[in-house]
Amino acid sequence: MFLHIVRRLGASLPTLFLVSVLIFLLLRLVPGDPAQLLLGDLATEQSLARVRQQMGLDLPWPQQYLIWTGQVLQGDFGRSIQTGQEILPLILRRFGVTLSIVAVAIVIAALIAIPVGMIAAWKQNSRLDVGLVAISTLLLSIPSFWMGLLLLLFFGLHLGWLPVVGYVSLAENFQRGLLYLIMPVITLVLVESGTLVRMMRSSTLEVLRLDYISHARAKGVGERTVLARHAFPNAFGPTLTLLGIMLGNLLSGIAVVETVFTLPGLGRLLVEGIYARDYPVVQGCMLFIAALYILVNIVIDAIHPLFDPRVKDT
Amino acid sequence: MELTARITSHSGDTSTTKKGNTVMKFLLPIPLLMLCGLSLAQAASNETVTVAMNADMRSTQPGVNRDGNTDGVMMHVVEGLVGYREDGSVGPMLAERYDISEDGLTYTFHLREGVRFHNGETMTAEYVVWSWDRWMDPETEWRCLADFDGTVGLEVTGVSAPDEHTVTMTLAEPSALLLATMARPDCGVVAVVHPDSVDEEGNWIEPIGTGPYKFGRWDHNRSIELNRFHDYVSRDEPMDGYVGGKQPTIETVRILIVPDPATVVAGLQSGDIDAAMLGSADSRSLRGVPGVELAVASNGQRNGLLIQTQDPLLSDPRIRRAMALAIDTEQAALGSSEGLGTPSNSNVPVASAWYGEMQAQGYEYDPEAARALLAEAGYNGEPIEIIANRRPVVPSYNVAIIAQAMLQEVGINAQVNTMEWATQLDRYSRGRYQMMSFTYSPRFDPALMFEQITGDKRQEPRKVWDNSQAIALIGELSRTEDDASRQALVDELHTMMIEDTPLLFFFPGVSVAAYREHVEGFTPWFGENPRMWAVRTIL
Amino acid sequence: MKRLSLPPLNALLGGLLLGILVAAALVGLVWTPFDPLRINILGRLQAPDTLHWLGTDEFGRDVLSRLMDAAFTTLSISLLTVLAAVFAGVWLGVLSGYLGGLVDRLVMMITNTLLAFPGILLALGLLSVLGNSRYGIVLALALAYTPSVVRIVRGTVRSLRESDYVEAARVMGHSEPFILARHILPNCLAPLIVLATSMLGWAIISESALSFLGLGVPPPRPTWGNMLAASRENLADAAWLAVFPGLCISFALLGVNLLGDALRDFLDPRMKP
Repeated sequence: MFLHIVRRLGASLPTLFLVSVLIFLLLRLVPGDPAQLLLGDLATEQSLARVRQQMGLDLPWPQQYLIWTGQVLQGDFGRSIQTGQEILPLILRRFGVTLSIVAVAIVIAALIAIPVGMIAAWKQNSRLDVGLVAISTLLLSIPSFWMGLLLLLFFGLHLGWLPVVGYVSLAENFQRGLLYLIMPVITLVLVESGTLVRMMRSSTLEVLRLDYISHARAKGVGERTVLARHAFPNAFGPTLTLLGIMLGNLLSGIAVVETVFTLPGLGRLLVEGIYARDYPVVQGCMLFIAALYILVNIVIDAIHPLFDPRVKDT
Repeated sequence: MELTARITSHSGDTSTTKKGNTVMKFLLPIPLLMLCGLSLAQAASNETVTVAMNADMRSTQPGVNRDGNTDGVMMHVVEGLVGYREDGSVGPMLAERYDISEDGLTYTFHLREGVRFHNGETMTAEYVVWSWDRWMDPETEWRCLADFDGTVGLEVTGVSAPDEHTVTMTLAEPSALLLATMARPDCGVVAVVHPDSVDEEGNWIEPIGTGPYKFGRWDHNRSIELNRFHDYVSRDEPMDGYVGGKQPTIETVRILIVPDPATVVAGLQSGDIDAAMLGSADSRSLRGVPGVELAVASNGQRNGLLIQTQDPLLSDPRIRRAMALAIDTEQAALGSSEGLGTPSNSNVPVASAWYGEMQAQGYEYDPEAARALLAEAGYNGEPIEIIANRRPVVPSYNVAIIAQAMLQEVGINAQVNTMEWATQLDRYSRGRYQMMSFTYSPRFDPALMFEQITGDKRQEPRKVWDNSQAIALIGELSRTEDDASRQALVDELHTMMIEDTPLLFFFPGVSVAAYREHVEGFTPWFGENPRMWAVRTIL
Repeated sequence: MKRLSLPPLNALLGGLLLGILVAAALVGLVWTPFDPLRINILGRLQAPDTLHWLGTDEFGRDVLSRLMDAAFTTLSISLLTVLAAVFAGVWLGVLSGYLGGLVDRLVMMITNTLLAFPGILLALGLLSVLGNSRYGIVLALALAYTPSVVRIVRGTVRSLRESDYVEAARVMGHSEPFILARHILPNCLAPLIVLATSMLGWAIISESALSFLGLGVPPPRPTWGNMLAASRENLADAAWLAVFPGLCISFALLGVNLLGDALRDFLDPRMKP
């Protein structure tokens, strides 16, 4: 299996290469000049030329690309054009914010959604099932940014219980930091558990129909044991895949939620980098996100066989 | 009730409460008034004041790797021979006074005596010359090198120190811009720094200047600390802009980097932030908030609509004129600034010393005349695109939307197209637009204000007003030293600009100073940036 | 018999919700209570009343009229996106699955790259190149969704290419295009329809999210997403600005999801009770 993972990692290298080339080209095709943005309306031809030269933006594109990839291969992502900060530590710090929210939210969502989905499947077509499906379909239909705004309106502005804007890192002040995480986490939990419940329900339904479940039941095994011991391990496979996709998407794409709650996460860094035409920041973020995405997929694929006997056999 | 009471008494720090009680017993005989005085004095010293800034500074080297925030921080640490006053005129700073020779070619600066650098050494003419030579060295990459070496026009041929307290500068040709350029914050006010600011190879370490604050700790992208310079020797006259008396009282100024204005607002409400400069839109949510006070002033920015005079349609001055008549300046200004802006069609901002009766005269709001002019020009509903952006720091979008409504009112088919700032700026510098809602950054000298908008489009496509007569007048303005003759030229340029209508200004930028009520002297002004040497705290 | 003639509840409800929104969008094309772009500085931030049923925004524009105008923008963009993605995806999927070899490897490489590429940057890039138009968004989103279509079509084509009855058709002398059109593509239809419905939902969310981030349809032209984004400035004073556009997005999504469920039940009877 280890070999398999290494091979998959190797196979993802061309994808990463393509991603890096595409980002590089796209960024430079988009109108807007980082040097100009830095200087604003104070820019003169001389000052622009000087900044471009300092940043290496006056070199031909292929040369710029080679310099950049050469540095990245040595673990140096360069410095931000706008702020002069080193990019890798910046990305990691911002990623920490995103990760803390996403990880907590996904764990909570899974803990809620998996039992709920199985119960709904077990009690298929009962009132409980219909109610649960209706609620999860409703949750599925609320976009995260609106959910966030509604929570802000109610808990932040109406009740005044939770801070409306800003962010305090957990390392700085744990208790206050937690306060800032509550609403983003609730938002993600609500939005994502709708999808998860439905997935878990349908895969449980499929498993419950299989022969060995009927056998177990015929042998007089209790319903609880049937669900926990026999149905769950096999029904969890597809949900796990979904969790993986979700994780990959969320880690790279909660820019919207970060915008609503003004959180300094990775998504904001990327969007702000795009606005500022901060080439090295955007390139670094994108490469990081693409690698992360691929990694999450490989890990999920690797642990998938543990939950799905059919995959293990092939 | 009982529960709340108990929680309070338990959560409160019991030790201080007890100590407080014992102290109170001892102090009881002392008159209450004295007690108040005591606590006030304690509060006034030993204080840290936290100011929010929307982005980190770029470097500690003034005038080299910089932006507006960098200038704002550096103005606390370094000083030059001259600097800008409150109204944008130039006043002496490290120079006690200065003389200009008859022919306008020699400037003699008489330095103040007893001024100390942060490392304790006395500032003398020798250091002024050393600093000048360092800035003018191309290796330093000073952004204003071209402004002094003759590239742009002004050429300083020599700087020398005839004695310890005198510095002379000689020019190739007379210019009114020498002092105004030396005073520019983006040039680092041609800071006089101690040679220990650089290492043996000449690389910059940290500024050792003469300013009221020493540069302290810099935690990149989080905070900057400035420490009070106890040996600062102030000028006698009252504070005026970046010059005049500076008597710092705050021990530590903590500059907190907070990019999101909404967070600044929340921080001011909670007391985590003591003071911040805000835009008009963000200040709205602070109105009526207990414990927070607001002060408003016009600054040196100018908001308006640029017109591409080479556009086939807009090259017709009648159509440009019609647009000017169609827009109610007052409504446009107030409507896009939360009612805080000062309506004005002038390129010279209202707060400037050069703003006079003449500058107050702009366009009359006359939709009927606008319609008539359009008909005369044969305008037939051709669409006119107004480019705008939605950055929170400028009113670009608001101005565009309100102007669009008024233009449509007289039958002009104006369409707002929102763009990302990067894209808009690209269009600006290439001159590729019909109209554009734009905000010019502040200039202190009127020659520089007009130079911003005026020029030959073939050479500099970003310039809006391509008028050879105006270009000649600006050249004359930058050579003329006499204030009355300068004012006459500024007035003439204003009249010409209104007549030509290459762009429409509606109001200067608005600075809102927001501060907790224990902060005093945190005033908004022409130059936008905070001046913490004037700030003190009260109980 | 009776059971077949009565559509299930979720189909009815979903159809009703989408129907209302589509009707509002179509009516909005020819008539809205007020001009959705007309500003009125004196009448800004008015709470819902009998004149402005859903209130006015920060420029005094009528919220109901803007929502109607936005409905057409959002729904048409989403629909076009799905159509474009399906069109491109089917072609690429068939080519790659049927021809195999180098073409297949190339298509899969592009597909994988696109999957690892955040839609935001793609959208921004295309928007800037195409000049702030709604077609830029359609193109960007369609590009992002095409890989899913390619995967489904390619999988089906590959599994059927060597199957017995396709072999039989070859033996009978049918041409390859005929076999594709007659025997292979119809088998992709059911999963494709299910996928297209979910994609419609994704497209609505993505378009709104892009507009919310300021990367979508540029204001002043309203979309539900950019109306929500603008509402943040006045959240404390004018909650209705945040509530109504969000409701529209959610109704649209709910409609699509319910219809999608009904469709899947219908096409994939195993899931049926």
